This record gives sequence, C-alpha cells and structure tokens, in this order.
Amino acid sequence: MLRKYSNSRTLEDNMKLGGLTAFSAGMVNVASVIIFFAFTSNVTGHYAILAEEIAKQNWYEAAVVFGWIFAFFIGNFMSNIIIIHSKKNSYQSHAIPLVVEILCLLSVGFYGQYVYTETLTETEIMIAIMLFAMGIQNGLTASISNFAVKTTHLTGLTTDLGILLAMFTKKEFRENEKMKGKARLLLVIVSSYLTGGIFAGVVYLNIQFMVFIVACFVIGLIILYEYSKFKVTKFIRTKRAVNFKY
Amino acid sequence: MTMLFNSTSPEKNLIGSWKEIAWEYEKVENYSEDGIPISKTISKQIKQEIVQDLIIHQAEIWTFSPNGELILKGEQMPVKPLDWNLKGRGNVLSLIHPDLKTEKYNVSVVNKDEMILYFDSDIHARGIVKMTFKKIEG
Repeated sequence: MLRKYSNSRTLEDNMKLGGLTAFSAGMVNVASVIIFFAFTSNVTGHYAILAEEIAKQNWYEAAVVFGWIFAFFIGNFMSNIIIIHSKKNSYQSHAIPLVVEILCLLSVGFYGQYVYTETLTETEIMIAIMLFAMGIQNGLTASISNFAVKTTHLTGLTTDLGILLAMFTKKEFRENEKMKGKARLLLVIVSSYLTGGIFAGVVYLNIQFMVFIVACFVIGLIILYEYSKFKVTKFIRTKRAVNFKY
Repeated sequence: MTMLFNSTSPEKNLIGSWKEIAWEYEKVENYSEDGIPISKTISKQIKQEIVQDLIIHQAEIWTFSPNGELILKGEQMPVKPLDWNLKGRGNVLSLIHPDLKTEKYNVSVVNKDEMILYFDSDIHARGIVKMTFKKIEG
C-alpha cells in the first residue's frame, strides 16, 4: 500500500489504501460534526462559509474559517514535502505523514477526553488540527496513487462514479477491465467512508473522544501491515541474493 | 487587516445579560389562503406552546458568564442555572441542563448590542423561530 509509487501501484494496493484511509476519514468527519458541529475532512463547505462570513463582514469568523482551510492546505503541502524530499526508502517516506496524522488525532482524542473545557478557542484549534491531519492523509493518498485515491472527501469521487455508471450503459465500457476496476475502487472508498462514519456515530455515544484513538488504530494498521510486508519482501530478496551467490 | 484585529470572538460578545425583545417565524407566507395578512410575530400564547418543553421556558433575561454558566430569569420562573458553550465557528449555541438535556440554537448574529438565535420549533409546520435579544449589561 505505502511502498509503491504512482503507476507501479496495483488496483489491489489502491483498494486497501483507499478502504482503510476512507474508513478513518469517515470516522473523523462524523465524530467532529457530532462534537464540534464542523466538517473536518473536506473544505468545499468551508469555502462557501468563508465567502458568507466575508459578505456579512464577520471578520473574526472569516479568519477562523480561513485558518481551517489553510490547515488542510498545509497538511497536503507537508505530506508531499516529506514524500518529495525524503532520502529514505518509499515505505518510510510514506509512513511518516501517517505517523504525523496519528499524532494529531491522538492529541485531539486525549485532549478532548481529559482536558477540553468546551471553550470556543479550544474547539477552533481542535478543528484546525483535524483538518491538518485530514490534509496530510489526502495529500499522501492522492500523491502516491497518482491521484486515483482521494479519501477525505467524496465530491469528485461521486462525480467520477456517476460518469462511470453512465459509461457502463455501453457494452464496450462494461467490458473494459480498467474501468471496471476504477468503479470497484470508488465503491470501496465510498462504502468504507460511510461505514467509518456510521461506526463513529454509534461508538461515540459510549467512548466519546476515544473515537479518535480508534481512527488512529485504523491508520496504524496501514503502517503495520506495510511494515510486515516490507520486512517479508526484504527477507525474500536477501534470501534470493544469498542463494544466487552460491 | 485593521478590521480583522478589531473583530471580537463570538464567545466574548456573548458574555453579559441579554433581554428577549422579539419572537418571530423566520419564514412565513405573507397572506393566508383566504387572503388574510399573516404576521411573522409570534404571540405570547404560541410562544408558551413552543417553549413548554424547552430549557428556556419562560425566560426573559439570559445572563452568560465567562465560566460557562448561563442564568435564565423570568417573571414567573425560578432562577435557572445552566451550562453553555459555543461550537463550530461560534455559530452553534449549546445549552446544557443539569440533567444533561441539551438544546442547540443557531447563532445568526452576536455583536456588542444584538443577538439573533434560531431554532427549529417543530410547531404548526412553520419551522424556524427567530429570537432577537438586546444586550442590557456586560
């Protein structure tokens, strides 16, 4: 999932990465809507709100919303800076943004559970941290999948799905394996996002802010799965090299 | 930039005492089916019907403290202390009763002089109620 870059990725790689990251994004977004009354995995709505607040001359609110959009932007920027400039192997350069994302969500989870006094400033900062985390995730998945996987928002994905389904009304497209694969990937992402959201909505009632720790666990699964595959691949390569020598 | 630095957080603007001055339906047809003009203003009787199950029942003066406490006062009601907080970008006001019953109000305007809240009344299928307040202290 994390080791391969762009065109060397298989559909299966993208489905695993897309499914797990969309599940965590759905969780984070629904939990933040329930707790903070703000979306944290997409910014389209925030752009509309920013325009509305500017039109109403509510400068404080406009600045807050601009800050949230900027946090998402910086998240995307940062994850790609890490990927582009890292001199480590691709597994490590792809895992580092996810570790940063986990740290952000852990901080929101623990702060929310044990320290949060429900002031507006705390709420605004925690929303910004989550948007930053989702920006990191979106930047990473989009970049390493050559823009095939975007998991924190579903507008473009729903558009693509609509276009694909329309194309499938023609037999030649229905039989196109590449297009069928793309449709399967999009459906996996949509259903994972929705499942994550429903799961967060249900478990939030019992575990409150700890729901963010569960989201971290899901992201951690991606890192651990890839780490184990990375080690196995390395072991097999070493073994082959040794066998080749003798 | 100056406007930005001079702007105040909705939380700071909210702190102080507010007096209810108007209750209106946000959207209502101007005329009934019989051609009779309909007023947006909500009568006292309808208001009582709307608020009978709400925390804010019979409240006329709302006093928001910086420590997150809200005191509701009215002529025919005992002083009722609640907890309050703002969510989102300051556009959602949550009122929390000691028994943890929570009500949400949309904050449309909150500045140094005026506050406008909206809530969904679910009554008479007319929908959203607009509550206007004037600041009297703080």
